[in-house]
Amino acid sequence: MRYRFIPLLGVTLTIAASMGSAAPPTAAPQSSTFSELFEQYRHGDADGAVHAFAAWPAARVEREATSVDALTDLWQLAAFALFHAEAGLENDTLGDYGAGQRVLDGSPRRIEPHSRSLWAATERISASPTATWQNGLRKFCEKLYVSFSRYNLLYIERFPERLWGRMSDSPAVATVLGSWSAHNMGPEFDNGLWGLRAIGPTQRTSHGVMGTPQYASQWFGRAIALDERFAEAHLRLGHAMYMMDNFDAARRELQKALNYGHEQGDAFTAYLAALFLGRISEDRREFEPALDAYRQATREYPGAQVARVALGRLLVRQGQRDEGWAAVRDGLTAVDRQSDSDPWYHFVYGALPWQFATRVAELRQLIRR
Amino acid sequence: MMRYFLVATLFALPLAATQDRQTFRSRNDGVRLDLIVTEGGRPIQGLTSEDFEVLDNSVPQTIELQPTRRLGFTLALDVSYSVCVQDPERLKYLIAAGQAAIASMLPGERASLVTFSDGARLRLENETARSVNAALATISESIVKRRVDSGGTAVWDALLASVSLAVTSADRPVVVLLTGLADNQSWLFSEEPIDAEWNRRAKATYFETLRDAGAVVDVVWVSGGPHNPVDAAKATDGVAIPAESSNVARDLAAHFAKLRGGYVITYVPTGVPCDGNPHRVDVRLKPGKKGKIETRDQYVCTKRGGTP
Repeated sequence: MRYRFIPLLGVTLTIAASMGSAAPPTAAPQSSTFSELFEQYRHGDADGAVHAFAAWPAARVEREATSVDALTDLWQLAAFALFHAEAGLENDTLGDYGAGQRVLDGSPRRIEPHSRSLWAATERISASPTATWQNGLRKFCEKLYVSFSRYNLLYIERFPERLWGRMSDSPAVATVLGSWSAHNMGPEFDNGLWGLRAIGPTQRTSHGVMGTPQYASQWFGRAIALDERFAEAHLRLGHAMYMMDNFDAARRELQKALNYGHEQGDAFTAYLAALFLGRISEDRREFEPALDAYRQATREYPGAQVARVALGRLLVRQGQRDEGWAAVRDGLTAVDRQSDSDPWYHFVYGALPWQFATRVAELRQLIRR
Repeated sequence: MMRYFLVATLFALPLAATQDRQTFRSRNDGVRLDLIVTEGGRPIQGLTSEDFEVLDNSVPQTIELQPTRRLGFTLALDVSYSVCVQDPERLKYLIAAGQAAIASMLPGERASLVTFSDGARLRLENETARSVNAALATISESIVKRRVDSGGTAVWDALLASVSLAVTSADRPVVVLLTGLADNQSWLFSEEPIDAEWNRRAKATYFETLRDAGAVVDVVWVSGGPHNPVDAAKATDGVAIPAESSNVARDLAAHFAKLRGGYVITYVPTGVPCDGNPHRVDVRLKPGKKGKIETRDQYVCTKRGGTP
């Protein structure tokens, strides 16, 4: 199964994910009802169920598969949310507005049914009594939130409000909130900041403050206070410090991100940390450390394109033309070997492709109970 | 979010500032100057090294001269969201321009094909016109059927990657950049006005690297807003042509013909220190020869392993 980010962020990420079945999914008959597919998804051939559901036209999804009223069990709701999410990912409609121009020309939003079902179900889960959040439901919600909130940034307005109260001790959630701030640069990013404004102490915070690295760094600091070894928070804090020209602090945080990311097998974070360390050194005309950092970035994430371009360009600047151009050229094929897009192209807009496929696989395991 | 950003980019960014003074670096084993000599707009052919004098920081140099025999093409095609999804008409123009460029190739000339959105991808390398044409048709069909991933636009990263294919060619390298709207995701420098001073320096360094490669960048661009990639053409003596122009094929063919009528001068700098500083180069025709010379007037002399 391949997940493709595309509809809202305008960036694309395709990640091949193994969901435990090496064979291609077998589609259920088109005559299957939603109930039958849903049962299959939870207890049978989940890939096949997703494949069949993804083939449904939107009108049929709308008509037969969007009502959450009959779902009273919270794990049913969780499975319902994820089933829709996976089908929307498979057929590339998750979060789709239909015609791309609708957002640009100010036409009313019209979100496809998979996304609306996903968030309708999670709304109901997050409104449930605290006592019911045991046995992994909280873990499910956190993973779901972290995985999909960035994906659905433009229409997530009501989601974080309720969930935040239940996840104030989550470094991953704090990091998501910080990244909204760090990567949103003005009123045109209203929706991204809406979520932050809805949350407790930031209710009266203005756009001008929220869309700054200073404000973002508070969220990353909070995440680190909750978990000192949370690599991505160090990465984003380091980048925020770099944006504020606080190079020493940036280097400290990025080095931690690199170390923790490397130790924890978080290749995206380790890669970006090395890449940013290279940029700081290059900006300060410390060329040998910059070259070392770019080289390390390519080791941390062998599919790197940007690190190879950065490395090659710097080598060319230093007169090592053959090696430099070869490194740039190697970047052209490196991406194809591992993924479709360099992590930088997602980070730059605050997207969170971090182990997305792994997270969705874990989510599926949680709901298959 | 990207869509909002694109709106901001389209309407808020100023046109790029005037280019910094043209500068390029020497190659490891000497200085290469690609030049064209024209009279009345037509290339003059049949010139020899005896017809030129080259001064490096006012010091005469011993040169070698060869005619430009063939061009080595790299097509860099934008398949980003703004081209493939927002307005597929743009893609049609760009594909048609790519096909026009390919149609202008001479027997023996080869081309590579790179596509880019957020990241660049090598599709074909050093292939015949026929192969590249077929690949363009396949890409066009795939995009119409939404089978090609599209994303943001990292023009500058992709252009440098495309140039990397050209630099090893013995033929005069030409990159035909077929692109939509402004860059919004490149690592090397960004069009975002977040840190104007950093961007200015990064952009200057970027164009210096482009010129160092000796590649000509011809830009075919979809009009409709500020579009900075045309700067790449200005920086490398390329041409910039609106994709909607009915003269794309004619203008590209004319430029290629002009480039084919040029010369390559090489020399090892003698009698001047190679210390990483810019050197002024004067290329002149000796008395008795008439013609207008189009070439660089500066390069940065950097020894292998030295610092910029």
